[in-house]
Amino acid sequence: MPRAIWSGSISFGLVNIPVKLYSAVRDREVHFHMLHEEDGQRIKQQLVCPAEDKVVSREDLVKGYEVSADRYVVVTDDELEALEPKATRMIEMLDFVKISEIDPVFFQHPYYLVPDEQSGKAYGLLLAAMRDSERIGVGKLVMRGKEYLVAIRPYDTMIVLETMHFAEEVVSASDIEEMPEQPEATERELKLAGQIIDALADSFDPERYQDDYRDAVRALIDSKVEGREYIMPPPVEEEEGKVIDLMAALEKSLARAREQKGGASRPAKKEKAAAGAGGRGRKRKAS
Amino acid sequence: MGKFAANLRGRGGIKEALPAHVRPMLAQLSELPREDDSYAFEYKWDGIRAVFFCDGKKHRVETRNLHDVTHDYPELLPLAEVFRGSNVVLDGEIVALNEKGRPSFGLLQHRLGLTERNAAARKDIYPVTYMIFDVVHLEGKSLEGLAYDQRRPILESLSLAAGSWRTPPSVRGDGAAMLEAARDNHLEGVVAKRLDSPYREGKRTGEWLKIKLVRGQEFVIGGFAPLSTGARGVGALLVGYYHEAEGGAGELVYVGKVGSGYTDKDRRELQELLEAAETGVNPFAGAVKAHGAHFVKPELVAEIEFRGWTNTGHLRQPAFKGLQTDKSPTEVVKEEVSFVYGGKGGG
Repeated sequence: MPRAIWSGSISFGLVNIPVKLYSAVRDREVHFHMLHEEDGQRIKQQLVCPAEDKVVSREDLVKGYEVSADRYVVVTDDELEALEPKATRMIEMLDFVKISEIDPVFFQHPYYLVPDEQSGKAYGLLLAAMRDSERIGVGKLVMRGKEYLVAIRPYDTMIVLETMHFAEEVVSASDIEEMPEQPEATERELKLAGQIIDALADSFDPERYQDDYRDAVRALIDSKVEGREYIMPPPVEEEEGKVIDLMAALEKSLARAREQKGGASRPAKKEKAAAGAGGRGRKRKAS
Repeated sequence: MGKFAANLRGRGGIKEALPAHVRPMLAQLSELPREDDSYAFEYKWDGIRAVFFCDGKKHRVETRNLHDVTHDYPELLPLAEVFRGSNVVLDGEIVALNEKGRPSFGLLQHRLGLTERNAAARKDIYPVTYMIFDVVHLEGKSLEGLAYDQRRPILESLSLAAGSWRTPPSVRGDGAAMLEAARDNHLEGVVAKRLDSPYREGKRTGEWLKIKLVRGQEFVIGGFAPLSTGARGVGALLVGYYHEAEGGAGELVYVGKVGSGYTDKDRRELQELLEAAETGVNPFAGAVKAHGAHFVKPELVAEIEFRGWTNTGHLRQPAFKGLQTDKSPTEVVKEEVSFVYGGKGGG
């Protein structure tokens, strides 16, 4: 079961329905790490100030808004925090609208709303009422210090919450400059196009479509794992250092133990060890 | 002839196939042998026994119970590169070193994949080192018939000391000084190996002796008592060993409650593992006095450290060290100390 990412309640008239939010889709992308080809080590990123060519730590960074070329106003985290919407733990329903009125272009990310154990009835009631009225709820939600416009709608036996784009985020068709003229089609052309569409008409079955590229990448990786074609970073240097130190410490302890047992009179015995026991300059406490 | 053939000069003849499996030779619990010039002493490593096979192309790592753990220890992949084009069987112990640089069985737990969560934790870095102490097969030749003091120079000539593997020292005689050095460095003890002993697969003949500084052995978990605070987690494990009987394991003998040595995480994970195995039936021979005891199917084995035995046959000051995944419960018997005073022991 995936982890709930938010919990609170749907506020709907006088009714409050406690719910948890789970993402309804998951990332199935194949992710890669960047390695140094020579030794297989994971590379790390550093923040560099080009003025002094110096590595800068995160604490020494501030946020700057570029007003015009190379001119910034600095905004502090405290200032931003003061503006953050208050976390109300509430999904407040503002309007109920016909689903056909919201174009899918507004939808951002779907989540499942899951009621707590005692609230099944109220949840089911809201679900049934939306279905009967063919209307879906539009409201607001504060999550991770950000305010979201959301829609809640029935899906199967659950209520789905969609985060939505605010109107000003959606690019209007007239803003696309490369859009060519669309001379009106003739009756005949329209009829022909309609026939083609009819011939391909089917119902939507999501199982029929696969991400072929992703499957191919997975298969490639599996075949490499099978053939043990992995590259390994060199052993963690710290660990090898520990082993070398341990061997050196043992050698020292053994020499001392021999001495204490009157080793001077006893001929030193040849110690056989292929272990690299060179010290590393680090002192080790011998207790 | 492969690149390690020089090690076997004068041992011509027919090539022998790489064995499919090798059950490692075992050591008997003992005091220091008196006639220590007949022995080589090695440090005892607190980890898991592992046999490394390489056929020149592919390698395999097996535990003492022949479980394939190759993929659990990718650190040993480069060791296969060392033996590319030749073949070898090595015997040794996989250890994880703690922040003080000492072997820690507890730390190694993170690599044993006991629970789903632990398997995920393996992604975190708990590097291991393979302490190699014997060579059983090389270049198409079994070395099992050779005496220890013939196998050891061959092992050393391979110079297996790089990256995630080492050939730890072997010292002739001087057992007491070795044991002192082991104590000094918080190791478990030493292992004494007769110089004339061949490699006897899967046998505990007394030619190899283990001398432990701290008493400790595996016991079978037969139940648990929850924490008295009411918090979720195991308060104590109820443990025992199998009484050796003809034709296999006899009855499970109760040796007491183990209440210390756990981290909070251990307590919770053990509870999860044990709840799944709960039967409500006492698996021990005889009654067990433990408040609110939950009995389980005796299928998990725990490594326990203790300070000796009471008159009633219970453990003195026992502490939990970790779960042992590579020992079947019926193998768990009481380890008795044998005293070896010179003589032509073993055989």
